[in-house]
Amino acid sequence: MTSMHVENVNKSFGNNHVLKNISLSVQSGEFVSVLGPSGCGKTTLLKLIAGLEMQDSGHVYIGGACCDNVPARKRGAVIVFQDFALFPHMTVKQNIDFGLAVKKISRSERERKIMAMLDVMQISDKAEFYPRALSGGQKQRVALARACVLEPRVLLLDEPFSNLDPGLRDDMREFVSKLQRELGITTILVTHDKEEAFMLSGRVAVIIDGCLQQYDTPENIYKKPHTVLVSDFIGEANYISGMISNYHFSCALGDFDAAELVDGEAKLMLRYDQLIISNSKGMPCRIISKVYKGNVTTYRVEIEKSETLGLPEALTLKINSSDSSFEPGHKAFIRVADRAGHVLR
Amino acid sequence: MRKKQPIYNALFYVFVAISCAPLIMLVVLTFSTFWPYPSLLPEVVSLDYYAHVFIENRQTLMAVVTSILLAFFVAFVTLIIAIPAGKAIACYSFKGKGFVKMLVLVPLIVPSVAVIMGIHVTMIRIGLTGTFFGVALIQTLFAMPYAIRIMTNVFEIVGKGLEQQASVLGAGTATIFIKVTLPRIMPGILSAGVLSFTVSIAQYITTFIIGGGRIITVTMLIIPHIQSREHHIAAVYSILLIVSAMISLYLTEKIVRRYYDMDNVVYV
Repeated sequence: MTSMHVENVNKSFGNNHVLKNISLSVQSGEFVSVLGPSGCGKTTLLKLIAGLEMQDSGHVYIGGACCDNVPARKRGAVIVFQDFALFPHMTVKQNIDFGLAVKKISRSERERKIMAMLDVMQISDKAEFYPRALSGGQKQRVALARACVLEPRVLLLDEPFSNLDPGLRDDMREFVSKLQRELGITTILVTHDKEEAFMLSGRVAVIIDGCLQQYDTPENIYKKPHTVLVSDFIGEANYISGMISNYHFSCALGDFDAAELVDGEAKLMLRYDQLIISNSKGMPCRIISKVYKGNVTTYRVEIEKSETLGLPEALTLKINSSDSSFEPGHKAFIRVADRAGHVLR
Repeated sequence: MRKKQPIYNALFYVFVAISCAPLIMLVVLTFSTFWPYPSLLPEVVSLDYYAHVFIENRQTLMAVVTSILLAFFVAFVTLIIAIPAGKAIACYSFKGKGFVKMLVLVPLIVPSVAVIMGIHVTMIRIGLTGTFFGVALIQTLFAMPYAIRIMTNVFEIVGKGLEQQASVLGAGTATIFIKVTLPRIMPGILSAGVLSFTVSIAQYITTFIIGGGRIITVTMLIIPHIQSREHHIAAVYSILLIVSAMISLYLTEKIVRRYYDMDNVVYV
């Protein structure tokens, strides 16, 4: 069990500044996701940790020791690549044996470890198969087995589920999650899929444009993003302008707590499902459009401008509701759900 | 060939026939002792020319051995240089990469006589003319563009992914090359080797100038016979060259395929 942290890491490819001053620490046995849109530099971060790329500045620590000058083969940080990178000319067993054979462990010990790992991965019957004869899920199990059998200090997963069919993907996510808990390996998962990151990890690091935007629990990332950038990446939301004074934010929809922010202009973020539409309670509004999506219906509503409420212009909001009975042109009432609403800059 | 495509089928055989026609002609030529102009087939058939080549000419066997040895040696030296060169061009970025890529193709663009004459002077000075090694060296130069081209493409296809995976799994450079890279690029090595072999076998002018008449390959024996209008004998030598080259390549592939699992490279 090993902790891992990177400190003020920068990396450029030519004029492209891929990683900007990233610092991230992962505790021993923790499962952390690095989440970001494609091309945000997250795979590069993984390669830096593994030692496949060298950072321009900053440091990588594994188990508390700086390993900037340790070559990839001695770091004990094993990557499972997106395309699994199985050696096509070796059988499943030989693939798993590859890293063990290099370590010069006795043959019987290796055999025992391989068998145990095949059993954990539920692919014992495929030991003598070549990778080309395996399905996507089986290939992934082999790739995981090959990495886990080495008891890596840090396991790095690079978009491991994106090459799998949707149904299989959920199975494999659960499998990996369970495996990680059982083996207790410090794991870093890189993904662009927020559901995946939320589902699997205890903490999520959001990287956008090469900067670490927020490093927090999935729930905080979703409900309390620090910036509009993070909030937008995670999901659609309404933003309502207002002012903070004395740790209180006030806007047309009411007052909200803003204890962590200093006075000045700010925005209230409300996810579409944090507003409630009804026939009686809340502020009067007019329904502009309606999109029926089955389990939810998305309404676009407009609150008329009103000087008394502090609305110099009409306010348009989007709401997700399970009630699909409202029709465009009709009047309705909206209110903010209990304890919802997050103030950000 | 699928049954649904009779046109493709027909085309295929037409092309095979066109490619084979000169070879058939060559074979007929070797047996026809007397074949005057209007007759469709030779009037006298004999093995006279074969007798001349194999029994009367003591140089023949030595020439075949020299040709084949030279070709293998050239293929070997070419590969030793082309494998790392291809890897560098495909996988690494360095200053002047575009220039190097062009430089590699230069021996194909510049007329070979010009290249040879330039090198000839230097080779005389260091005493490489008239030696097996000198001839091999100059032939390597002409085999190199093809081999580097092939190896570059092979490395581009194979990529760095598996090597990176092997290194995070704890393998060192040598282990990675032997256990991961080599099996992956073996088909490419074989193709590049075969092409280099063929380039060497077909060389005349390089052997003539650098060999200075002391290195006698089969092509060196063929040309004088063509010049003195003895086409029949030249044909026998040509057949000999083709057959010996094919046997060598066939055996090489058989041996390599014993150790490496891969699809057919030379013979479809």
